[in-house]
Amino acid sequence: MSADLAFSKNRRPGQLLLRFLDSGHALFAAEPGRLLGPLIRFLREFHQSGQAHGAVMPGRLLVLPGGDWDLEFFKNRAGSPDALELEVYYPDGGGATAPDLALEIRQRRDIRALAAVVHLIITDHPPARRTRRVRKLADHPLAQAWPAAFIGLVDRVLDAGPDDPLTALTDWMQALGVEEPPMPPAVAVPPASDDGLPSVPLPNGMMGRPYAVELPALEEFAGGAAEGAAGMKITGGLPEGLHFDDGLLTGTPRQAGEFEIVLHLPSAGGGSPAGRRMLQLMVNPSPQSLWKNLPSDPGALFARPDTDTRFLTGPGSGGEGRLTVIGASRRGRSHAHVGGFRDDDLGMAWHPGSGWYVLTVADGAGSARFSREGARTACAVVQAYFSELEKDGAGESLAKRTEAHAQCPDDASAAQVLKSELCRHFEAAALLARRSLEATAQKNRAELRDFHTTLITVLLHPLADGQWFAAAFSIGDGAAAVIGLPGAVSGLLLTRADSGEFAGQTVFLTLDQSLATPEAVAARVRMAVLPGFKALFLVTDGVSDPWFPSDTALADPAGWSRLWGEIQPLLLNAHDSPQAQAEALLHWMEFHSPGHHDDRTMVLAMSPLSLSSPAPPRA
Amino acid sequence: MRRLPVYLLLDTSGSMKGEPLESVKTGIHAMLGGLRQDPHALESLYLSIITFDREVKTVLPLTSLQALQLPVITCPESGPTHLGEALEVLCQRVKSEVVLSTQEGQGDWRPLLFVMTDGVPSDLQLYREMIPRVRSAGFASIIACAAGPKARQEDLKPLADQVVTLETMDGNGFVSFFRWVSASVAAGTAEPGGGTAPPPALPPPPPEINLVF
Repeated sequence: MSADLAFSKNRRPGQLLLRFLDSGHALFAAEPGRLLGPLIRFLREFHQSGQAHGAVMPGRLLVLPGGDWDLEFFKNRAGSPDALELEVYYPDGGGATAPDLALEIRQRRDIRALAAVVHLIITDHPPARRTRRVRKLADHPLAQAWPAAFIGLVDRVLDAGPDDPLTALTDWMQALGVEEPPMPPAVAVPPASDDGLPSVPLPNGMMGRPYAVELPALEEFAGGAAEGAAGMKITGGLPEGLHFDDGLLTGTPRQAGEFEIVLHLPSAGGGSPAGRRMLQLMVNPSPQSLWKNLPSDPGALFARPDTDTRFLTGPGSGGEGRLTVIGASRRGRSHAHVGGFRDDDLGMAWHPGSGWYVLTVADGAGSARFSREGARTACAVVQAYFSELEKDGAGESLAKRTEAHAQCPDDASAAQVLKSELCRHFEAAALLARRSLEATAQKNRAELRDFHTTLITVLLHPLADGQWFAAAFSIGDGAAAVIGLPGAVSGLLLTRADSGEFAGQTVFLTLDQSLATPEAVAARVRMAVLPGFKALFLVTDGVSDPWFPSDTALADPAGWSRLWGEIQPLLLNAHDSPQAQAEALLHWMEFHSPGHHDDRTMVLAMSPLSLSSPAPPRA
Repeated sequence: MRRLPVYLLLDTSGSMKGEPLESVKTGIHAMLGGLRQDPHALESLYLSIITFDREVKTVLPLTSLQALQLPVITCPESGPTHLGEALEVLCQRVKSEVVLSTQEGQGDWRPLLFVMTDGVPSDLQLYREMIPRVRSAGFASIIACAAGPKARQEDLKPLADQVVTLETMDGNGFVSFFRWVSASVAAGTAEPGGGTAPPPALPPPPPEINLVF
């Protein structure tokens, strides 16, 4: 009792030695030198300074939470032995109680007491036989006589012995009749909980997610036949929503945090620490509950709304029906969480004079501070460029070349001429956007890299014979694809994503390398004559990443058909107006996919037939 | 699911024994507590802890924040600081644990590395040989913390993108450091840096930590 008082008065963290050994003996066993070394060294230095301690005993030894001695505590207690333990550790009287004795004799008695402490630490005793207080001194193993050889060994180590007491350990073991040095446990033993009970970590849980652990099946309880499920009981500490019955901890936690649950084992009986364990349970909060939705700053430079929707309708091909184009762009949770801006943008236009639809999406780099303006400018400038084509007749000439190519697709040179012209336009539009951003950067004392953005542009032309011509240009990630083609090939990926070894590595419009050579430009352009289609998509990686787990999946029309299968019913419900359809698309973009919280943008062109035919079956 | 792998290399040589190591553990505990409140981190963060003294131990293989439980971290009495060997182990682990993008699957985000030491690498030659290998291992950011008076920032500068110093090795310093680490990691999950984009800006450090330029 006095030991506990001494401990609590000083309010020091740690546990007295006996209590520590209840749970921490394995810690000692794993690193024997850790406890023994510093203690022996300390006493040696204490003696060398011409003093005797007189209170080398467990009640004066405090072990810190990490398993090291509080030597300051021990030093301060020199000369004030624990009365209860005095008879065991100083059977002939301690240093302080016999001040008239010669220093050498008092130091000898310290050494004998130290031998007893070392004995206690080395041998440890089954937890059931150890108690926090030394109740029956006569029965206590420590009260028994020490092998003289053992004391002699400790003595020797203390006098002149090796710096590393580990080398003496084997000798000590032999002197104590312990055959094998304690082996380190196979698995790391968790530190004792604050209450000194051996702690047992349970698998982590998550708020709102079902949890189930069968305690007797845990490694910690393996082999203890008597410690069956039936007698296990727990007291307190369970998070709301979990219950314990017959060894089974189940339920759905409604609270997050770290929980300490006292488990009572049947075998050891009573309330002895040996029969109890401290179950440590971590319940993670549910990520969904942690997302914040903070508004972006409307007064900031390049401020923009957190969502955007667009739509238009135009002629179908072969003079039949109407093409509907809808688009939606939504700020991702990662940006909403910190009140950041949406870095994606989109654009769409129909140019009746030249006969071209121009569709764009752009995704500003998350790490670039003004990338939102980069994406906006990319879409706006590219749209403006192709709008100009209408005025100077270049668009019309492009449309004519396209018709020629569609009528004679096997004419390689005509195809080449068309492709070259497309490359020239796409490159000119992209460079115009880059120059515009350079000017913006200069005006705002920023760098071009502050405006990093990707860009996907699709030109779509209704052909006179009822077919369609599509040409796509892309820098960076995201994708454009078309599905619902009649014939053997049901869909086509129109872009090739720039990706690196790691996630998020890509190329930007704002980097020289993206358009460094004619070959680099040509590799970014794809064109196709489509006999017909149901839906043509342009998406940023906020949509393609969660939907397509790999580049292979991205190139598989089946995945795009599944995406269409999910979106089409929502659009059918809103078929009364393209505006309502764009809103429905924006709403759909709220879908939850763990780890995918980027901005999401889609531009979707739908042929007249796409909303009247049933959706393809979902795989 | 794309993961954000974070590697923590901790000096556990003899000089860390006692209060410094206890403070580091407290700091890591606080860091994990903070990260568990961050939805990005909770969904995508994977953490590995490698300790180095005379031995190099992977005390925590790459484990999701959701599932991870803090391992036991201990210090020997005394002995050398094998940082070079630790970097060698690190490179092996990154190679085997971090998933790269392929045609068939999405890769992880670029990993982050935090190195904390209170001394000088004892295996200096190996350490110097390892620096270029670590630099080319794909880390989005390498941050080294020189803790206490004996750590030499000049040794760490060639390794790290950013060196920070901790003047004192007490609880406050380490807790601040790991809190800052968790803020840096959270920034990393929010804006996992593109390969060609500049690395994400570090949050401003608390007063106990000095950035070394």
